[in-house]
Amino acid sequence: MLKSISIDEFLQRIGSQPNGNVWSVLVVSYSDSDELVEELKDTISIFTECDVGVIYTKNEVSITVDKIQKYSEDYLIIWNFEDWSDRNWRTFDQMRSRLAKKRGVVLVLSQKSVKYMFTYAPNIVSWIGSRVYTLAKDTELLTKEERQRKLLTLHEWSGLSDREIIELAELRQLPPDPEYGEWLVLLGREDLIGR
Amino acid sequence: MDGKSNWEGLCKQIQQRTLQSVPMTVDSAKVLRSQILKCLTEACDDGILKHKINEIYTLLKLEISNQHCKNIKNLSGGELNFKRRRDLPHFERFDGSWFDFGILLDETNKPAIIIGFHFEIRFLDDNPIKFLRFDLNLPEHNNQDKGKRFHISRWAGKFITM
Repeated sequence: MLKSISIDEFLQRIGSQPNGNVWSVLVVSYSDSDELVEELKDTISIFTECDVGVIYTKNEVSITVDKIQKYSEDYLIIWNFEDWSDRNWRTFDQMRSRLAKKRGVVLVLSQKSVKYMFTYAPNIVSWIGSRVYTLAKDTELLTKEERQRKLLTLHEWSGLSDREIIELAELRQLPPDPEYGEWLVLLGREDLIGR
Repeated sequence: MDGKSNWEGLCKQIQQRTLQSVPMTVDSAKVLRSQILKCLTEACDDGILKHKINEIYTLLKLEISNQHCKNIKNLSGGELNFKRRRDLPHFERFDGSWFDFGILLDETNKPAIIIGFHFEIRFLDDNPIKFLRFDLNLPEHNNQDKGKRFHISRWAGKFITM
């Protein structure tokens, strides 16, 4: 059973890692990988304060290994292992002595590819240790309950209803306080902000 | 200079300096959130904030609304707290002062633009200043013409807004 982790917790862990070739694995569905890699590229660089490179693997292990060696960035995100066979993973495992980066690497894997890694790349798995996580999605977003609580607070503060706020905004008579903008976002009427 | 003129002069200086030095554009709301998360995490590690680091991200929330032609997000740190109730979730400093904030970002175009924010820090009872509040009002408001879209407020016996 893999530990589930939010992206915030993952970033905090990466930020506290010592300098060295530290590898981690994030497990997400393949369809979510593209968006996650984009987000990780922007945010890992904030927490590591180093440049971050991205490798989209093809079905050729030696090319991937060459890229890991040649890329100048100290931290790498490697993804798209979907088509890697047992032979690919075994080869990757055998070439592990060439897999060194100054700071670290995160592998973005699907459930299918992480099973392949666990089965056919035992040395890399040993190297990664416990740093294999499934990603808990959308933990940074307001929950339905938190949204309702905010709306209730805004109602009590202003004495106005959601309908009245929308009418005032449509008439361009909404007070300027930033909380009213937040209110419109909560109502899904961001089109009325700053018209 | 008396206390009030001291305060007013200070406010003008802070406003001018803030408007000149604070970027009003960011890459994205998620990037800004990560930057704030890192800053607050380091503050925890350094003992400046009285939180465990896993409490930080539970207080930092994004609200996304893109049902219309605009893409506006709200980044909040702590709960809305108009009555300054200490039992509501907030950030707390080592000296007992406590704060919350909200930032509105328009991601319709790149880079994203900060179109409004509020930040308020409240001090302990023995401090003559009870709270300090920074606001950036929503755009296209009358105050914008008067150069007051960004303003600072404090309470020290009476309410003063600059």
